[in-house]
Amino acid sequence: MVTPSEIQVEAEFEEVAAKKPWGQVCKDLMRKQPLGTFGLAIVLVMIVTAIFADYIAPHDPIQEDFSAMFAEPGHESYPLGTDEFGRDILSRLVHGSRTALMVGFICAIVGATLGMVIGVASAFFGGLFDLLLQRVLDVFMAFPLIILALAVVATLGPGIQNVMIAIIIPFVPQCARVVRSNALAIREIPYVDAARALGFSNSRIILRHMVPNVMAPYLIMLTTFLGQAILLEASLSFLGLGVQDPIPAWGLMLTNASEFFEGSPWLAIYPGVAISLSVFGFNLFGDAVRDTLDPKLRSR
Amino acid sequence: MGALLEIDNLQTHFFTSGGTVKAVDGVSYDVNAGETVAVVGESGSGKSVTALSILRLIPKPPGEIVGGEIRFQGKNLAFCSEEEIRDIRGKDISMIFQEPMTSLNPVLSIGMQLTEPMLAHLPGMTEEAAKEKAVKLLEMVGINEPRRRIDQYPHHLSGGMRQRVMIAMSLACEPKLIIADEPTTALDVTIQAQILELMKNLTREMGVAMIIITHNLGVVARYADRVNVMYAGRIVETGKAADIYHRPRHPYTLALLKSVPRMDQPRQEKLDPVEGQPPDLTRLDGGCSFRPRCKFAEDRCAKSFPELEEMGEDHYSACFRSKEALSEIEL
Repeated sequence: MVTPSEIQVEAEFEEVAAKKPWGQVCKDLMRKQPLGTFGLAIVLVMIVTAIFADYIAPHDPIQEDFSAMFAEPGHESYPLGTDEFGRDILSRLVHGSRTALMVGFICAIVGATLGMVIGVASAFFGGLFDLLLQRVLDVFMAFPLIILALAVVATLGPGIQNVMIAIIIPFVPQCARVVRSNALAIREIPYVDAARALGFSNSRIILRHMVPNVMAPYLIMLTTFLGQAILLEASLSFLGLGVQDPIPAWGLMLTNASEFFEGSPWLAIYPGVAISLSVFGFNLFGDAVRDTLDPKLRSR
Repeated sequence: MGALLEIDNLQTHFFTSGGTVKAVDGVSYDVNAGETVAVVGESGSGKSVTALSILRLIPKPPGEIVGGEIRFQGKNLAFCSEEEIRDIRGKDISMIFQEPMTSLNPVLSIGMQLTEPMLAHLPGMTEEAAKEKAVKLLEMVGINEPRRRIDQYPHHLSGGMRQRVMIAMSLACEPKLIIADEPTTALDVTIQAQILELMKNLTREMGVAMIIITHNLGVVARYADRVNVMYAGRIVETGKAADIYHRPRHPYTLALLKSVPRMDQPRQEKLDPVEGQPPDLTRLDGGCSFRPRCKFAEDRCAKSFPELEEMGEDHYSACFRSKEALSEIEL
């Protein structure tokens, strides 16, 4: 019943994409996305720093040394100087990366994932459900990110969990909105109807058949959220609503530095550089991911 | 003992801003176990909507089944609960769609898509057993190296292969009825015959009934036991395939048959298309809806809609003039 010619043509199409060695993959990536590779490098350095913070940091980040308060950078045992309690800036930066990354990843992943499921569900059910849900999301989107986060922290109180909740809440509608528009297009493709015709439950269709098809916008939102979350956490901590002393966090270091900035500028400069560099790295990486996943922007 | 599926005076309407579209307006037909029934008609004649209504896949709103019954093994599908219909979908009644290129999910492997309905519908089915069955199914529908294919994705397969996979999926839970909505329209002509042959053989072997929706009369002649001709949401003629093909009694059926080239007849001078457009379904009057395009139309056609009348054994036509003007036609 099968014609031999059909089979042969099929066979030829296969295994076109043979597996490339890792080195080649890296080289291709560097050539096609030089900035993205740079961003990825920053992100990787940060991750390694965060994981091995205990080994990399020369001192205990909360160990106070009253014989070396406000030590200037270049001090023999404190290369980046110390703060008002004589705590090592370098060690606090290294340990601070843990806070930043933890908040960044947890918030980005939870926020984007919740948003994706809500967005796909909204598109799938459509009708009144979609209309009402979108209006609720509109309300959330009406607030600027930082104001909404501030309001949430003000209600829940400071602390790292509450900060994460405060960052996740504004992320959800953003991702839901983007994913919904993609899911609306996917909903019209016959395989969704085919899945319904096979008698699958709504949750199964949403999670197993539609969600994998919106991975591209999801990953784009996720990578954008990473940088944003780090920045938001730093902002909230800077305003005194986020992570509390003595936990090392970059935003918190900036707050403390503001009092002594004129005499000891390094207190502010190094955490400021750390925040900027990490957000920069995540954004570059995010842009590269978007360029790769969005077929409209793909040049080759 | 009734038929496997009985559709009784089904009415599916779409409530749009432009008015109520009576897409299906009082359709009745039966499908017996193991029988192949063709539903023929132009685009917009309501043949697909009837099929989607059986599985309650009409998008709601705007569509809604407003009247009639769809009895499948005695159960009324038109108004049963969402859970009940979900149990029947894919298990007792499965569907093959028109577009094989987009009816398979591009991000799930063939194997996953084949085993999923079995795992969802058949209690006690293990993943191993389902995978074995999937290999067998692929073999049955004529796909080579099924063990390797099972890990491949839809983009590895051609349109014809994908439609074979769709057929395998529809057979996975051993349904009693398969609804094929223009299963070959999107395929190359050479593949069309293969796919139809395959479907015919498999349904015959497994004793599965099939509703085949098509606008291709060649398909009808060869593969269907019985034919329902639909026009503007109603059945205008129904009968055995041979009767419809050789002794059409409704002017629309006659016009359809004359509009396609026939290999079993001497060559005609030229083809005779059905002139005009199908009617606007929001603006149907009380009369026969084929009247504006009909060569046999009379004054009485505008006054009331002709009911189905018996023309011969198991052969019905809904035309006032079937018995007089059309009774002698032999094609």
